[in-house]
Amino acid sequence: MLARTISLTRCIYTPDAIRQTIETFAGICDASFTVTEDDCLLQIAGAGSQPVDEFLNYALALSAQERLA
Amino acid sequence: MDGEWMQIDVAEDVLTLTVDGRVYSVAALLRTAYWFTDRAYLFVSKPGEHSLRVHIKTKPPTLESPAKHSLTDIAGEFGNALLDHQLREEIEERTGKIRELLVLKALGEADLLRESPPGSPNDPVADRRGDEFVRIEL
Repeated sequence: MLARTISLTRCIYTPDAIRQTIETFAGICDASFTVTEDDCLLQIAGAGSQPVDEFLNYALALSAQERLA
Repeated sequence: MDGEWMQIDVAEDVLTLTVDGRVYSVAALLRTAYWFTDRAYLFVSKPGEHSLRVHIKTKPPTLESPAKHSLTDIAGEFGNALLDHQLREEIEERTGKIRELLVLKALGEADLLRESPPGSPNDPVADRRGDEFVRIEL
């Protein structure tokens, strides 16, 4: 199964938001992430381009909610 | 930036906006992006110390939203909304304290700050039992 690695900058995306997104999309795609100093490296497999776009949108919306709360 | 702030990849149907981090704050960008997530797919990356890149992809039409939005329209609206949020943030920074003082003054003049909150501060169980106790007075 092909896995994509996407680098999410931590100044925008929060690890908590990514974790929550992974839980929400658990039945749709298989994702995991590691946190580095500047980025969260997301590994996502088992999804076409649209679920990945939905995943990233969801993570962005959650990060925005968390940062602006 | 030098005029390359907007790029459109027609084949992928993706538009990329480069935002100067010295002009626009992360908070303004996040607020703007949040409001566009219902119409488009957005992804934000940080290619440089002072720049943020917003990748915008249109969502396929659905029954709820049958009209497909054009990428350039979304980009234009995004730019305007970003400017709007940034301006609001700067105005808030400059006038937020004055606004708070005005609200406090208005509440003070209406004597709303002295009014006791609704309800009783007493323990309702103790209140109910009040008559049952025998009071011993010395």
